[in-house]
Amino acid sequence: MADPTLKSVDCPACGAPITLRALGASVMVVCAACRSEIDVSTPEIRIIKRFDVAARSFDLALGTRGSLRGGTFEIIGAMMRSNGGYSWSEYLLYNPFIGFRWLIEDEGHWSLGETVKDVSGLNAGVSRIRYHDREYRKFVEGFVTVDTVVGEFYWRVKAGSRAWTADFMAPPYLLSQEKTETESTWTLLQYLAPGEVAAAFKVQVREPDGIAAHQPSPALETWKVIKQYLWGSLSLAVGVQLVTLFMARNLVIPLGVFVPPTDATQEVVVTSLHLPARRSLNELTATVAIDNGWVDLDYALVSKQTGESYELGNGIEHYSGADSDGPWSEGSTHASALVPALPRGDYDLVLSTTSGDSRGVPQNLPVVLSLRHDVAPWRNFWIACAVILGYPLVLLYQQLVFERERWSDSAFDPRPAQQ
Amino acid sequence: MNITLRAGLYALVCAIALLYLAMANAQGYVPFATPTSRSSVHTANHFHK
Repeated sequence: MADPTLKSVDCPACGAPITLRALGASVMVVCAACRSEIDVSTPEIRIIKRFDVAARSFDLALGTRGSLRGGTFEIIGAMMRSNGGYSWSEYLLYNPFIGFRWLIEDEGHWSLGETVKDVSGLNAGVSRIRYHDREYRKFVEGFVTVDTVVGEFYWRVKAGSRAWTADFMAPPYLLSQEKTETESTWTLLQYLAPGEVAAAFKVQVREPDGIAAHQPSPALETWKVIKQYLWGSLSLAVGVQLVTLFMARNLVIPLGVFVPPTDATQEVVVTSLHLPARRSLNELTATVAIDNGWVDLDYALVSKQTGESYELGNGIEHYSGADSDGPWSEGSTHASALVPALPRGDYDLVLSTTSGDSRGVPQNLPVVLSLRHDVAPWRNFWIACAVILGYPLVLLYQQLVFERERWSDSAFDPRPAQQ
Repeated sequence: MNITLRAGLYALVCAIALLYLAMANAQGYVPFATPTSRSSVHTANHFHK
């Protein structure tokens, strides 16, 4: 059975057959052969204007059908519009059961649009609009001109028609107002990935150039997916650290005062100690009441069970004096060193020191030693946090760069002025 | 690389970071601690003479 919305007529200008696809809805059609504008609102079709400009080629041909966002549409009209030398393509799609849709191609970026029926509350005179629980920010406004038109339309359109437009963005949506002397319409557009259009109409489409007003930010889209992993991982890291803090014995073991022998190079067993934790982090602290001098401490914790030695070193230096700015001091009279992953057992602490004052004379001052056993480490927690936060920070940077480039095309950038 | 793959890799990185944290804390291990090497038993016996 023939489609009741289809009708074939001959172009009164060139005689080429023209198929009207939205019979009853279309009021004018542009002949694909000679580009003449023809009035089809009455049974007696007539020429509105003969087309005498070089034909303009569109990426998508009239009559092409494609399945897009749940509907199969046919391209029944196309026009090229421009604003100050900047041009884009608009295709009118039609499905007899769904109605009309707009397919816009702008610098390789595609959008699918539908006329907004309830325009109450929509006002283009403001910088922000709330529509269906989304806030739209004004991106661009100005007059646009129809340069080329072909196919059929449900209103009278011709080359040279001018309209005032204002676009408001909330990626991936764009609310666009179009106003002429006689009417005002709003269209809600949704950004389409170029691949979606290519697959729908089985055509090659070009790579997008620049960033569209309502193009979703790849970094933001990724963030929406990974943020659950971020918060989950940070929570788990805090949990692990809290358990570590709770389990740590943090046992302070005073090791006494060590008086260096006259022979500074001699290694002396200072004391023996027992470390009860299965494997532990330990912090060895030395304090020397030195001023204007230095002390180098070389330790070894030697296991009595295995004979293994865990060696570490520390340097202490402290200087003070007075000058025209008053008294000063630098350095410290104590220093700490961490001994990680020490197995449970008995240990000898072996120490040798070398020291000197500002003239190089050995000091041989008493060294007060203490050890904190089974200390809760924080360094691993910060490393884990840094690793977990690394990629989100990269995404944040990418998002800032993306938005800066997006808004560079707008006169309504809401962000603080860049210095 | 699509978003799903990127999210999967990120989840893997998070899992490794958490595993590192749990294991290192349990072992009392921290990187860049003062001793950078453990001497051999032979060297250690020197102190016990």
